Amino acid sequence: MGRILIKIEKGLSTRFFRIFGDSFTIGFFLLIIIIPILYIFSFVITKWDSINSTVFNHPITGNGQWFDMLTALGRSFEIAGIVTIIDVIIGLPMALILARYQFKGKKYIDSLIDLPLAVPTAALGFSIYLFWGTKYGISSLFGLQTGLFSEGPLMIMLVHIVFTYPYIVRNLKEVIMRVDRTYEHAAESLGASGFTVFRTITGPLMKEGLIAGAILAFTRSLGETGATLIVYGVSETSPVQIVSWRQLGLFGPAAFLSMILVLVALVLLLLLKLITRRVGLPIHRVFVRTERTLSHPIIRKTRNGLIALVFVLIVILPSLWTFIYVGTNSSTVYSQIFLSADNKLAQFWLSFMNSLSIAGLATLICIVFGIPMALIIVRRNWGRVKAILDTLIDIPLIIPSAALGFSVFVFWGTLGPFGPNGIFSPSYWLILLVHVVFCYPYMVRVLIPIVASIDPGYEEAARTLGAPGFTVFRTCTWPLLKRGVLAGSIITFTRSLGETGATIVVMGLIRTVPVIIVNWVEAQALAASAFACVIIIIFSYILIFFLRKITLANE
Amino acid sequence: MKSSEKISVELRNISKEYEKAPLLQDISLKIPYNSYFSICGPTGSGKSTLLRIIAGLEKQDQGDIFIDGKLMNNVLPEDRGVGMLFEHMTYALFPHLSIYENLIYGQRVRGMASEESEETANEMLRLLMLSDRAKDFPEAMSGGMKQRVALGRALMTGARLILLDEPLGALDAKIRLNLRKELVGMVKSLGNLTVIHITQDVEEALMVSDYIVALFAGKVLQIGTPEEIYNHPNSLEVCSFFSSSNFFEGEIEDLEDDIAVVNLQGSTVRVKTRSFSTGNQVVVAIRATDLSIQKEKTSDINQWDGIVLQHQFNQGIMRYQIELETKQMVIVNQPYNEKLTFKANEKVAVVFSPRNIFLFPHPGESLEKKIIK
Amino acid sequence: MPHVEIKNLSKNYGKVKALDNVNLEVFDGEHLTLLGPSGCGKTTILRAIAGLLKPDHGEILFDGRSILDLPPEERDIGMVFQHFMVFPFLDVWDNVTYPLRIKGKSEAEIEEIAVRAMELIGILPRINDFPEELSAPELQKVGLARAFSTGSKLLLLDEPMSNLDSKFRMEFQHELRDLIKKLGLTAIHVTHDQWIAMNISDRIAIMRKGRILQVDTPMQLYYAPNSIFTCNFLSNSNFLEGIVEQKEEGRSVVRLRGFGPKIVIPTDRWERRQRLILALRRNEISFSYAKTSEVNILNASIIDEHFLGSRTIFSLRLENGDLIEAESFTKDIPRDLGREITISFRIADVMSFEYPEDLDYELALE
Repeated sequence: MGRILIKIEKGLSTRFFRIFGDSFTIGFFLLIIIIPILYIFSFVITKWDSINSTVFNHPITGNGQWFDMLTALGRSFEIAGIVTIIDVIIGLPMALILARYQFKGKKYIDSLIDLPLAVPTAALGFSIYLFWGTKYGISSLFGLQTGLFSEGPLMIMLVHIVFTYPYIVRNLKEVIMRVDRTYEHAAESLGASGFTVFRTITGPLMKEGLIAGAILAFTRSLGETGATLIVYGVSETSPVQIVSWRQLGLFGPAAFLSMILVLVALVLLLLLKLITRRVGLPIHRVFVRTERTLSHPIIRKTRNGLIALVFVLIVILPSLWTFIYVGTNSSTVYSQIFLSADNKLAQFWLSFMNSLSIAGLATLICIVFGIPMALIIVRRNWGRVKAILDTLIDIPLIIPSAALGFSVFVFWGTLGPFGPNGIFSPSYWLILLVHVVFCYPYMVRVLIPIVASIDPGYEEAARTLGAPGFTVFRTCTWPLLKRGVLAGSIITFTRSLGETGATIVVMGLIRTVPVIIVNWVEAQALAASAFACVIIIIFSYILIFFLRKITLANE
Repeated sequence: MKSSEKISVELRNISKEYEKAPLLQDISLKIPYNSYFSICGPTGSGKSTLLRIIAGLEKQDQGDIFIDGKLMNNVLPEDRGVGMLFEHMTYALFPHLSIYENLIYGQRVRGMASEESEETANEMLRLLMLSDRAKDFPEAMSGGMKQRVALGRALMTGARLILLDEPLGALDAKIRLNLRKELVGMVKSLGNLTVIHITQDVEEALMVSDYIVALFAGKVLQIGTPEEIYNHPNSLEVCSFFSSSNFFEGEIEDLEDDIAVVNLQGSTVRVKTRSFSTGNQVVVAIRATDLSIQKEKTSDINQWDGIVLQHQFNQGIMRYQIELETKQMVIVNQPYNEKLTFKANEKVAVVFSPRNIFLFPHPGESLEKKIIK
Repeated sequence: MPHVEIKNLSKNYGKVKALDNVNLEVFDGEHLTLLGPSGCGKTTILRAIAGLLKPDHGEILFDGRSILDLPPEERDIGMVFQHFMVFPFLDVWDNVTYPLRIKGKSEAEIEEIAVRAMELIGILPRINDFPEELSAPELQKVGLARAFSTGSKLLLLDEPMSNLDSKFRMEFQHELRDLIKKLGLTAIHVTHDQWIAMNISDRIAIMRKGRILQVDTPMQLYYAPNSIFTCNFLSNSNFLEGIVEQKEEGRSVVRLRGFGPKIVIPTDRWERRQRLILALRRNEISFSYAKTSEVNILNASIIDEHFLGSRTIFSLRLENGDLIEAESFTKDIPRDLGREITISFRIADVMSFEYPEDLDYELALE
């Protein structure tokens, strides 16, 4: 190591630089991520008069818009509630299977569960719409001329179930695996049958995780925009409502609704963090004979079979239907894409490039600012401040994408605090900013457990061997972190690729692939949409595949 | 073991494989009621697997298990009438249930709960000396208390057969000793129990057992009382694992009237034996406590010259590692005598008494593998 | 070579006193072990010396100079860890040469120092291997070579053998001690294992609840502990309660409780009628005796016998009902031992302590 390099690294390790680095990281986080989101509150307050007149006291519609808002909110909550319950019912057994059983092909099932996570929401929504709602889907197997379901709440529910399913299953699987099996063995040896063991031992020990997973699924459904846009029909959910109003230029109501959604999300987040022990499962009464029957191997096998069937029918098949569609309608696809008057191929190519470059830049920015943040949260002993930071990071994850997009749009634009011209108008850079806001929590959340799993003893050893702070990072922490950063990058990149809702809100003329999919569906160019879907699904899935390889190698 | 004793557990020809490698090979055992059996052997000898097969948590590939005279091969763990104690740290006490609820769990899940159960539970609490802690939770209790609750919980189901899998784990030496005493005391005072205790700690096995089953590489090599296992080991493995011994290779020079004359490193030794003939290659085992050191040779018979390589003091016993003039290494354990200690590189003479010498046939090339320590 | 001094060191975690005004001196070239149950503060001291922890009060001096304001990388130390902490992404060579490269030494210097260290310690053959291919003792040796490469003469050891199989521990402790002496280092070694401490230390500092109870050679600690805790921690002893009846020059007569038998102890420092705890190591009780003025003789009944192979432990009851244990080599036990027996032990072997306020606390091992 050159003497100069040594001197530089020593200089960089001083207290001054550490404080500077910490401040810069936190400053970035607050300015780019938190404040724009929370700005919506300030906006609503300052613009209260105009909001009041449009929403509550409009000369023509009276409080019609407020009424629409409430309906939309109500619908969102209803759907989210039902979806969460269904998720728990079909997801819990799947999580049990994945956590406890070993069988051939388990790895493939595991990655299949991740499918909805990997795929852009618009593409997924489209695929599901194709499957359930058009004659090209499941109806074609029965020779029907229309789809099984029409656009509306039922369809929305089907879509939301697919999205929230991976969250619940992943979450529950982890929680189940954290329960020490020895407790279950002990219960068995004391005479408890399988079902009783779950209800009296495993269940109570994992109930916090179960509630957390349910809340996560609930919020995911509440916030779902992209796919819902495709299937909403007349019944609008709140995020869809925001998009419509934005497109109509009705910023007041859009802001108000966004604010409400942000508020709801914050409350849910706090609830998540304060999970209490007061919720109890009934463990005191034991119905011995019923539970013994329920634990019988035949019942267990039937249950497993049913779950697998549901999984395939409701989650997998609809998600991948676009492929089948493209396969069976290749001529239509070809003509719509390659022979169209408005040169759809070029449009697609441009949007694809946009998507890739935005994703790439967003990922890079998240790496640079995410690593120090993860280090701060895990390593510094700041007590309360750390807990606050930790909670703040989750905010973008929980807020509905449309509300988030709108908030950012307002903050940086002409309606924001930076004067009449604002700093960013709807453009490439605004889209990039929005994507950074989204992806940042993913990167940090992936990095935190990785940093936490690095034994601080290595860094201590390096220090006792004479390495100053910065050198410790470069020679010791970074090599141990590399894999995690790669994994985080892939997750961030795919998330950005798939982002639909917020992008639609902030975009001007620039379009990303998910946006194009939505546009083409609205224009009834189904085959073209299918084409775009297929391309981006394949691309995303390849990325996820590599991600799995890396993380498995790590284990 | 008297053949008229009633048998609690019987194993017949139990075998199990794992990925083509044999885990347990043709194990047959009879364990009588009210006896304390320990299964002792080095890591990987199959002890845990055997215990889990008895409990029903794993299935054997071949062979039969009988508990209380009934065939148990296809019976689920919860129906075998067996109580198990798990790893020492938490003893698998359910953290979300109180001590009382833990105790009564077994009866509840079997549908046996009643007013009587409450009385039985209180009686058990009294026996365990934990009457005032009924409402406490496991995390508030010490290791010894948790051990008692775990034992009580297993017994509340009416089980009279208790299985212990390394119940004292890798605890601090002195704490382990105390917990061990508590465990044995508890078992005695509760009475009428059959216990199978797995351990790789030789002293533990010697101290707690009525009988020891020596298990090596999936095979039962010997079953006997602690005295029998220690004083009459039937194989090199058992001899080397259960005691600190020195091993010498030699040859039988002569044999008259059951007395074999063996050439041992230049010295001649006479050993009482029936199973050898002249010319046999043998391995002679002498305990570390059956050797002693003095300043210099006082005779050419049963004495060797050597140099001290290392010494170690532990609780009043000095352990010397000595290299004999024949380049063989020996270990000598003797009581610490402040007037007579030897330092490294000092020249000494090693004396052995011909009384306690064990003779084993030489196993050929696998000698290294058979000596376990 | 470094001479380490710790003065009035204190560290609190909330209400818990991890270190309570600790003073200690470690001499050049000595192997000093900090021994005690978990939570006694031994690791806290070591980490304070290393700079991984800031004490609340007190001083730490290396060769008379205070190092308290220096970060770990500027203190002249080498450290070896319980979990080895060998960098998994570097091979053995890169691990061992790490401190030298950090300092910007020339290639030639690096090679010379590192090769010498690895040769001495015996891991040169593994030079190109990665940590995942090494066994636990080999990993610890790499850690040792790496610490030695720092050029420091002070070696800090944090439970270096706790992660080794008990099989390896016996041999390794001697290897480690010999290596440290050969390399000419001063060693401060933390462990909770009495065995290891007794076998390889020049001096041992016994710690409990943030305080140092006694610093002495292993033999001294075993034969002349200054507290009941230390006596119980390092030996298998019997503890008996009694009252001083008579005193003469250099000796006293103590009557055991419950108007029990009389025992002569080799000291006159207690007052008449003072309540004492006597300690008697169980392997110093003999079943045969010669009636001399150097020996105490008592009647006892055998309650129980535990065969432990080469040794057997007897549970005995004395005339006043006190229960004690006696340990003997199995081969030395007289064959015709009945139930009522006579035991003897040397007067010089009896230790005595003032009766403590809380006997249970003194006898606890935490």
